[in-house]
Amino acid sequence: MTDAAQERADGARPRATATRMKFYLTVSVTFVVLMAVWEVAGRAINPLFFAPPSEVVAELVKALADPRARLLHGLLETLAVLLPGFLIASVGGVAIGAAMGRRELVYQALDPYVTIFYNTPRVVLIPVFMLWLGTGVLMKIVVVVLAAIFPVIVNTVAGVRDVSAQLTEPARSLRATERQLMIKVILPASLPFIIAGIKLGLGRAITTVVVAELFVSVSGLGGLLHAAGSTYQMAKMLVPAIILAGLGIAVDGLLSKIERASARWYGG
Amino acid sequence: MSVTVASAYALDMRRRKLRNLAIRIGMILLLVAAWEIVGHYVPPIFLTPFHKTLVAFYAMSADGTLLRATLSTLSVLLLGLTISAVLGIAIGLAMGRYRIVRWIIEPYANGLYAAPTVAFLPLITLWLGLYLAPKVAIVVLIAIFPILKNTFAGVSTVSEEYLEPAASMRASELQVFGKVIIPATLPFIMAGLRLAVGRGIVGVVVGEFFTAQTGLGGMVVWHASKFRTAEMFVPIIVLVAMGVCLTEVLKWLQTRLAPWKETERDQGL
Repeated sequence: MTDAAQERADGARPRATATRMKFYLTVSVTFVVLMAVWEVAGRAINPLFFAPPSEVVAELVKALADPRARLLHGLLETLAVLLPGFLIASVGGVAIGAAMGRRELVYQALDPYVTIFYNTPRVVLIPVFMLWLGTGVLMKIVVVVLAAIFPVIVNTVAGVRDVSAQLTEPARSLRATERQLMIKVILPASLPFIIAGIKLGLGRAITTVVVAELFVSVSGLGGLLHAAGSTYQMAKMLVPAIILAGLGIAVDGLLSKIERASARWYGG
Repeated sequence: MSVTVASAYALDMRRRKLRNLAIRIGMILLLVAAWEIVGHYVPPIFLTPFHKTLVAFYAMSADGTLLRATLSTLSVLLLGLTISAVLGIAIGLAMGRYRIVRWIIEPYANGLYAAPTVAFLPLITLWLGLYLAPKVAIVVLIAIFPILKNTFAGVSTVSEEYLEPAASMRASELQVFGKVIIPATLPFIMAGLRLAVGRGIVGVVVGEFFTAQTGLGGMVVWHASKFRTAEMFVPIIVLVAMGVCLTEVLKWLQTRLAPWKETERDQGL
């Protein structure tokens, strides 16, 4: 049996104990080897260009313990842009997407804009909005909303249009109002699509906030990244980079769990 | 259902199509008109009327600066996408076929896909400098993962019903890949490529912002820093057009090469 076949027989995660042992062994050996290579390389290479993981961890501990290290402050500044921007994009995206999915006229009217903005490389709007709104929180929130809202809209439209008449017809025959139909039938049935869109939007939002902070270079984790990078403090630079990576992975993992749960619930 | 939709159904198909086209064109014209009117009333450092952007577009095309910037951006993009495609497809195929490769690579591939890789930008500039290499590297780092993940997802859907007969006829590993796995995975690979284009353009622009300011992205920053809003929108419009065109070309290729429908694993741009 090929590996792939065996995997299918085992299920997605290796179930048999021996296979599972091998799986965890491989993963841990890979991790240890990777860290060892990084450590050796980090020590061998000029510290202006690279830092070993031991130094990065030491820097992280130091930054967490020292209130003046601004790491926590930077994280909060980043989240203060990310959370409101992401919330506005999710709620607004679902509302606009639902209207576009249900009303042909709204769809035809807004679809050209959605196509244009969905295809606009979102970071290119940062200099534009810096001219209009300055370099503060408002500019960053607007840019994050513009980055995150379009995948939510596109997926909500797809989800709402996918709801079958088998679900909407009975509700209508019971004289459900359009609002009841939307809240009780259509939106719940489109939930897997909507969550997939929100997940994509969040990924775009994080990238955009980092680029905006690198651009303005005075606040948030991106600002710390810029400050450490431009002064060749490698270990100090890798700390916010790793925190940002961790943030992206954690939120993505959380939303993937919700996505699976909603799909399961939807599937019956 | 609303009255508008009910009456829309009453119209015949051709009239509806015409009406929709009229609405679409009307909405675009509305945007242009709003741009033109607002541009007359706000200071030019915020926005200039649309016709000035058109004039700038003409001037920048005539003296060749726009073409040079577009070619520079396009060459970085295509180089980065080609490297992403070759590496992403190769790694995705290996991950789908061999368990050990999957176990080793999957945690890192998933992590880097979810992480904002632009956070490693300062490191990339320190290592690779300011010219072509860092820009291509950023494109690859952003664009490779949808290709890799889609290819991998595609290989895992290849049915045992195709693999077993190939194995029983003593097909070599190369033949299994070439005649069974790759054709069956093609729709997924194409979907991954299409997703990679949008992300790749973001990568080029980020690279052009933060390394040597070349190409269309550099042009945007340059004009923005001089408050020349009319010129600033010219490269933005070209970038949007580039994104729309490349995505459409790949959509068309997808229907030509792999006309059977497959679900996309991810639509991340």
